Amino acid sequence: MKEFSYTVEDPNGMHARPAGKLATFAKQFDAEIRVIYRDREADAKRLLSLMSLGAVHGGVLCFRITGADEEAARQAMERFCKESWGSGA
Amino acid sequence: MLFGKKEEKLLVPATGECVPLSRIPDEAFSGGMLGSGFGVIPSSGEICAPIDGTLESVAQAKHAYTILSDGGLDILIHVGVDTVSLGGKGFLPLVKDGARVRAGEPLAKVDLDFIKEKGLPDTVAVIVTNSERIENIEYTYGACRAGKDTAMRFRLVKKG
Repeated sequence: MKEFSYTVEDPNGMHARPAGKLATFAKQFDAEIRVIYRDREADAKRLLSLMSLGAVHGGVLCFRITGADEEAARQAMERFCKESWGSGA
Repeated sequence: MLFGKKEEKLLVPATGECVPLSRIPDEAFSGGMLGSGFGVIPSSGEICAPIDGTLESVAQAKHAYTILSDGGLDILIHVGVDTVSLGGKGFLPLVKDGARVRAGEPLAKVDLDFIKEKGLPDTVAVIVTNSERIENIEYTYGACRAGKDTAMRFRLVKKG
C-alpha cells in the first residue's frame, strides 16, 4: 500500500467540479484508491463518494492506494492533486 | 434480471425547460466530463428527486444533492453554476443524508431570484456520474413539470 496526503486548497472544499476531475483521473488506474477524511472514507473513483466526504478548505485528505500499479498511481495522483486540482480550477 | 435489461428513467427535477447538458454554461457539465445527463432551466424553485434511491449526501453549500439509485446509479443533482460560492444561502434542503427518497419527492426549495441576483445561472443539472453503467439513452427536451415528466430513458449495462 502507498499513501500520501493532500490539503484541500479549493476555497469551496470538495465540491462537484474538483471531485469530478479527481474521479475521472483516478479511474485510469487499476489500483484501489481510498480517500480518508476525518472519520469518513471514500472511493476516489466515485464522484458521489468523494462529495460525501464533505471535505472543507484546509482539510487534510489521506490517499491510500493498493494494487499492482500503486506506485505509479501514487506519483500521478499526488502530482494531479497539487498541479491540476489545487488551483481550484 | 436473467432475462433482458430493465429500462430505467430519470424524471425532471424542476418545472421549466429541459435542455441538453451542452446548454449549461460550465464546461465540467457541458463537456460531459462528469457523466451523461440533462439540464433544466427552472421556472420554480422546488427541486425533486429524479429517481428512487438513497440520498447519499447534501453538499455543505446545500446546492448539490447526490442519490444512489436502487439500480446502482450515482446521480448528481446540481442546482445552478458556481452556486457552491453562495455558501448555502438561498437553499433550503428538505431531506437529510441517508434518507430514502422516491422519484418526484421534493429535495429542496431554492430561491431562484437570489441566485440570479448574485449573477449566477440557475440551471439545474442532473448527471449520472457512473454513466459507463447505462446505454441506449434517449432524451426528451422542452417544457417540463417537476417530478412528472421524464427527461431521460436508458438501460442498465449488465455488470461484467
